[in-house]
Amino acid sequence: MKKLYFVIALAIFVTFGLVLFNHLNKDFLEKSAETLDIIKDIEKNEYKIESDVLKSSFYLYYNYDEIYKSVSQIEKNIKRLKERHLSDITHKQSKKVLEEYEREFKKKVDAIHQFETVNSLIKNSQIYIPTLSLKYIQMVEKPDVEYFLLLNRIISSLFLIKNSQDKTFLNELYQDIQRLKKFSFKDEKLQQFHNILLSHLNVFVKSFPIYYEKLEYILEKNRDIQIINRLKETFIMETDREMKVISAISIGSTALFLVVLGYLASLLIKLEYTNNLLKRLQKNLEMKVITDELTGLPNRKAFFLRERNYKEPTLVLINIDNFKHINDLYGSEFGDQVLVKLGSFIKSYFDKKGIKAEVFRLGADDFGVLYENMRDKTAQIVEELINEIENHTFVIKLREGSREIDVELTINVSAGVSYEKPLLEKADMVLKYVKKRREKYMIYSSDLDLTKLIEENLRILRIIKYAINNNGVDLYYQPIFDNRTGEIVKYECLVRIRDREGNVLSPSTFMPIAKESKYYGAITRTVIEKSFARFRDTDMDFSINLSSEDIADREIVNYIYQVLEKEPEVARRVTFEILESESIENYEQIYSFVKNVKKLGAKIAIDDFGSGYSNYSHIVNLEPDYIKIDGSLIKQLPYDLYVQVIVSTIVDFSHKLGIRTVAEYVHNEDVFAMVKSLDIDYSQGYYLGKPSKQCCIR
Amino acid sequence: MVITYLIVLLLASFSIGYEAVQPIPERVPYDREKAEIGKLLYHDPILAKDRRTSCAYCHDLYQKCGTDHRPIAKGFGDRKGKVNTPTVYNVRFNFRFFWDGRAKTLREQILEPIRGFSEMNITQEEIEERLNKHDYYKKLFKKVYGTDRITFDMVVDAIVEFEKALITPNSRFDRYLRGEEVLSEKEKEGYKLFKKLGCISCHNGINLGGNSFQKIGLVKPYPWHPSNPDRYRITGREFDKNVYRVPPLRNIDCTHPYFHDGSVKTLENAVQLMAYYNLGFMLEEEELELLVAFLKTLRGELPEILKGEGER
Repeated sequence: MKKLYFVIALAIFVTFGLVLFNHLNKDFLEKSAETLDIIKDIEKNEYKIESDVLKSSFYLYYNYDEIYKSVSQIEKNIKRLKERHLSDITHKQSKKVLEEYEREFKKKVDAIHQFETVNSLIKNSQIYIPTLSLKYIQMVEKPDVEYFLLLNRIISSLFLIKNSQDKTFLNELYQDIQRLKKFSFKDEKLQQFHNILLSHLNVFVKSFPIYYEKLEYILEKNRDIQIINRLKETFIMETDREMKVISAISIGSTALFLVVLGYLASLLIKLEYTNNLLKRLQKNLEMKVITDELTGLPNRKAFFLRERNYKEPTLVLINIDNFKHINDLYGSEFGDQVLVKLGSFIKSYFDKKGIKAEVFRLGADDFGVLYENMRDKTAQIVEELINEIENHTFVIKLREGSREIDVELTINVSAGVSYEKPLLEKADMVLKYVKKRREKYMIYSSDLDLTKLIEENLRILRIIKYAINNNGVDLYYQPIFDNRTGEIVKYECLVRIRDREGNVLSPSTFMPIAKESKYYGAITRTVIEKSFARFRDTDMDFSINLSSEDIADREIVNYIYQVLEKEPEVARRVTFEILESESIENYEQIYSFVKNVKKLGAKIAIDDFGSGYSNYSHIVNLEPDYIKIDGSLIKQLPYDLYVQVIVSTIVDFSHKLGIRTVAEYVHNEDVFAMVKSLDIDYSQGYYLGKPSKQCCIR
Repeated sequence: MVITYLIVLLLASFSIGYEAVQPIPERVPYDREKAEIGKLLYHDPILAKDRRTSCAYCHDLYQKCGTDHRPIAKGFGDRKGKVNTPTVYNVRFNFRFFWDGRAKTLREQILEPIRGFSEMNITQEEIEERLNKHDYYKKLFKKVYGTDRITFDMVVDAIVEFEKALITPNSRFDRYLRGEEVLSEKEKEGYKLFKKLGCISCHNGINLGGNSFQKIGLVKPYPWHPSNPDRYRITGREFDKNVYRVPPLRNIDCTHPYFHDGSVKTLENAVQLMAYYNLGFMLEEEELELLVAFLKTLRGELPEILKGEGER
C-alpha cells in the first residue's frame, strides 16, 4: 500500500515535471525567439541610424526625427532586454555584453547629438555662403574680379570638401581664406559683408574637423555594431546551453515517466493475478457453500440455483424408507456411509443410462435428481431406478472396536416426481403422499392436490369422531386355526368403524388419520374394552393389535395394565400383536411393556414378521410367544422357492427359540398345504375364515 | 554587407522624394480613459502645495497655446522661475524636454514641476494622501486602474497619457504638406525662404525643432551667462555653451514671448534676431514678412480631447 502511494506520488511528481518541462520549453522557445527578434531589431535600427546620419550629412537639410525615432527604438529594446529577456541567471554573460553595448551606444548617441549640431552649423553656412556670393554681386556695381574669383574658388572647395569628406582640400581652403582675409573695403556695408562672410567660413573651417571626426566615429569607429553581433553570438551560445539543460530535464522526466508507467503496469499485472486468485478462492467457497460435505453432491442451495437453468425440469425426489432405523441400529456414522453409497449409486445409474442429470442431496435422506424434460419416460426411469436401488446389496463397513465388519444391506426407497414449480415443494408433497399410501412412487399432478386429500382426511376424521361418540367402533373377529388339529384356537380382533349411513370403513382407510388425531387413544381403548367384554365369558383365546404409538401412550399402557390386573382370568387368554414394521421410536418402552404384560399373564405376538423391517435381535429381546409371518411371504409361498427358504428359516429359528409361528393370508388350498408342510403352527386367512361380527362358535 | 545595406537605403530614400518636415498625424494612440483622468489632474490645483497652482497655471491650453505668455514662469506662491515656459502642445514628438534637454521622457519631465520649489512644490506622499482622501478620484482610479489605493506612479501615468493626447493637427501648413492648395503665394515663398536661409537645418521634423541640440550665436556671438539653461550645464563641454534643444515652431505665433529668457516679445523680432546671430545679417523687410507669414500657417487645431470645452 505504501508502495502504491509512493508510485502515485511519483506519478503526480512526474506529470508535474512534464507539465513544467512543457511550460519551460514553450517559455524558453518563445523567449529566445523574442530575444533574437529584439536583437535583430536593434541591429536593423543601428543600420537605419547610420543610413539616416549619412543622409543627413548628404542632404543640405534633413529630418532629425528619423534619427531620434531609431535611437529611442533601440533604447526601448535595450530596456526590454535588460528588464525581461536577459534578466535571469542563464544569460548573465549576454547581459554583460548588453551592458557593454548600452555604454557604447550611449557614446554613439552623444556623438550623434554633437554631429547634428555641427552638421546644422556647417549646413547653415554652406547654404548661406552661395547666397552671400550672390549678395556681393548685387551690392557692388563693379566687382573686384580677384575677390570674386577667390570667393568662387572658396565656395567650390567648400562643396568639394563637404561632399568628398576629404581633409586634404582643407589646406587649400585655409590658404584661400587667409588670402581673403587680406582684403579690406572702404565701403562700410561691403566691409560688414566681408566680415560676415569670413565668420561663416570660420564656422565651416572650425566645425568641419569636428563634423568629420563625429561622422567617422559614428560610422566607423563606434564598436556598438560589433558588440551587438557579439551579443547575438553570446545569447545563442547561452541558449544552446539552456537547451541542453531543458533536454536533460525532458529526457529525465520522460525516463522517469516510463519507469513509473512500467511499475504501474507491473502492479496492474500483480493485481490481476491476485484478482484471479481471489476469484478462484471465491469460486471454491461458493462451491463449498453449494456442496454437501458428506456426499460431495450439490446441496439444497445448489438445487435452487440450478433449477432456474431448466426450461422443462423433471425432479425426482428419492427418500430412504425408515432411514431412521438404520441410524438407530448401526449408528449415524454407518447411516452416513449408506447415504454416500446411495448418492453415488443414483449418480452412476444416470451416468450408465446416459441421461444428463444432476443429483443433489436435498435433505437428511432426501436425494433429488434433476433433468430436462423426458416426461414420457419418467415412469420407466423411476421404476427402474427404484428397482435397481432395492435390488442392490449395499456393503457398508461397520467398525466394532478394532474389528471391521462388512454389513450387507438392502434399502427401500420411495420417490416423488414433479414437473411444476416450485419443484421441490411439490415433489415433497407427492413423496409424503406416497409414504402414506405405501406406494413406491407417484408423479405430481393437480388431481393429487393436497386440498382434496385434506378434504378426504377431514371427512374421515368426522366419521371417526361420530363413530366414537355414537358407538360406531366395532370389532370383527377372524379365526386362527391349529394346523395339526384343524380347530379354532384363537380369534384376532379387527377394528372397523361405521359412519352415519352404516357403511363400514377398514383400518387402512381411517387408521393413518386416526393416528394423527386425538381420537386414536379412544379407538384403542374401545377395542380393548369391547374385546374383553366379548371374550370375558368364554374360554376362547383372542388377540388385539397394538401399534408402537399405543405402547408409547402412557394412558393406554396404564389402562391395559389395569384391565389385566383386574381380570387375570381373561388376561391369560389375551395376546397382544405388536407390529414391528412401523417406526418405533423407543424400543425400551416396548421391552418394558412386553415384560409387564407377560408378568400379568398376557402373551405377545410379532405381527407381519419378515416384511423387510424385521430384525432378529429384537425378536430375541422381546421374547414373543408367537411370530406371525408376513402375509406377503405367505401369499407367494407355493410359487417362490426363495420365499420358501426364508419362511422355513423363520419357522426353524422360531421353533428353536420356542416360539410358535402363525401364517397370515392363507387364501387358498395350495398356500394352506404349503403352510402345513412347512410345519407352521397356526393359520388364518380367507380360505379358512373371514373376519366377521360373529364369533366364538366352535 | 553594411555598405550594401546603406546603399540600398540611400537609393530608396532618393526615389521616395524628400521632405524635411512632416505633418502632425490626425490621430495618435493614447489611452483615452487614463488621459481623461490626466486632464482632470492637469487642471486641478490639488497637485500643488498651495492648492492654487496647477499644470494649467503655466501651460494654459485654451487661451495661450500651452504656455503662460510670461517672460519667466510664475509658480507656487507666485515665485519666479528661471526660464520661459515652453508649450505642452505636441510634446510627444520631442526627443528631449526642457531647454537644456535634461529629461528624456515625459515621465521624467513631469516630476520636476511637481516637486519644483517655484512650481507646485509638493511631495509624492502628500499627493497620494490628498487623492486617496478624495472620493471622486478614488472612484475614477478604481474604475480605470482597478485599484483601491491611488499611487503617485498612476498620477504621473495619467498626466503622461493626457499630454500624449495634446496634439494640434490640421494646421494650414500640414494640409499643404498633404497636398491641399491652402497656402498663399506669400506663405509658400516664406517656406522656400525658410529652407533657403538654412533655418530648416535645425528646425526640421514634425515639430520643426525639438529633435536636436543647436547653437545660437553662430556668426554673431550670443551673450553667454552661467545661468543660461544650455547644454553646457549638462555636458560641461565648451562647445555646448549656448547650445539648446531647438525650440519647436508649431503654433509659434501664440507662444510668445520668445527665447529661453522670454526676452523677445514679438515673432518678427525673434526671427530677425535668429538671422542676426546665426546668419550674421538682419533680414530685409520683405524677407521677414514672408518668413512670418509662413510661420503663422503652423497654427493647428485644438486637440480632440479638449474639443467642445474651450468656451467653458
